[in-house]
Amino acid sequence: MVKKERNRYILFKIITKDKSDLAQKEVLNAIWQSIWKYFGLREASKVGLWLLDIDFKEGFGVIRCSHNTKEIVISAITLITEISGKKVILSPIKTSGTIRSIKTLKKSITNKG
Amino acid sequence: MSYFESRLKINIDDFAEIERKLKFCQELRITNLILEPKSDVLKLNSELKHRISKFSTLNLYYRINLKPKSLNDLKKRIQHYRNFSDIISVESMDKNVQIQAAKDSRVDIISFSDQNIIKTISPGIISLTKQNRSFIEFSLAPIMARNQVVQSRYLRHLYRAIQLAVQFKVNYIISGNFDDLFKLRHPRALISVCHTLLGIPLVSAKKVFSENVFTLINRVQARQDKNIIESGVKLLNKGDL
Repeated sequence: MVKKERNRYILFKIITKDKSDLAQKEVLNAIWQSIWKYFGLREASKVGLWLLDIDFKEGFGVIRCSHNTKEIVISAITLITEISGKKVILSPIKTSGTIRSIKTLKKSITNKG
Repeated sequence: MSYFESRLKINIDDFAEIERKLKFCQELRITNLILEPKSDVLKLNSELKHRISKFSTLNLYYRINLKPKSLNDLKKRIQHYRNFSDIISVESMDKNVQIQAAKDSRVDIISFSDQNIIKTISPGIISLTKQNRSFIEFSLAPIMARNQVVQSRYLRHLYRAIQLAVQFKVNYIISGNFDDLFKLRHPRALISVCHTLLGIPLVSAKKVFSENVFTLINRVQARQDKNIIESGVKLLNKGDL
């Protein structure tokens, strides 16, 4: 019997000099480009990437991927150094199997300041 | 056990820059950091360390990196570091220097961080390092290069060097060693890179960034303990048992 594919939610921090300059589409494209560049079509087809939430004001984003490709997605976002010519860091903070725990963590981090 | 960034270069004359770097590491949620002075300093005094520690709540450790030009230069410079309280690393392209450093018990790390130096790694050096229970260091900084040829070439060298280290079961650590702040990454993210691009099993990769660095720090601290005669042999005082 085929096992149901599980998801992983990755909370990441966006560090850049000017967050307002970035667009959601640019970030998503950069992640896809990085996956393609370092892992190719074979892995890209398994990823199941979905950008759930991105908050440029607070500097956080949440992506969903397949649990098998979690490490690939973390590597891909780690290896992004620039988006549209602007220096940027997408630093993974926490991976979880449920969106609820990610939202709770994000809330606690943003409340702490 | 939390993860370590084993090499962050600092300019000890510029405290504003040090503060900026430490704050940036804190923003990245790095908890353990090993700092290395950029300039040729003999020793870091405790006053300086105390001043740096005030900038952040990170667990800070220090290392001195020697880049000797020749074998005689290494012998001359290493004389100052008997029972030294910080980590000592040696980085050189010269094979004779590497061999001497691997034999010397005062040296904790033989560093193969540079793109050109990593090509010179050999089974002989690894074997000597293993005998002396010291560490080999690799760095991930060049994989952030924009030039794809340089990047892929370095990945190949790194892959071969790590496979050699794994084959000989030597202690090794992997550091970020990033000069540019915007290339700095959290060690957990670097573990993923090592696992996916360099083929290191996830458990081993985690060990390289945490347990191995912790063992290295313990080795340095044990050097200060006069009751420890050699690795595994400690004089016990009355009532210690």
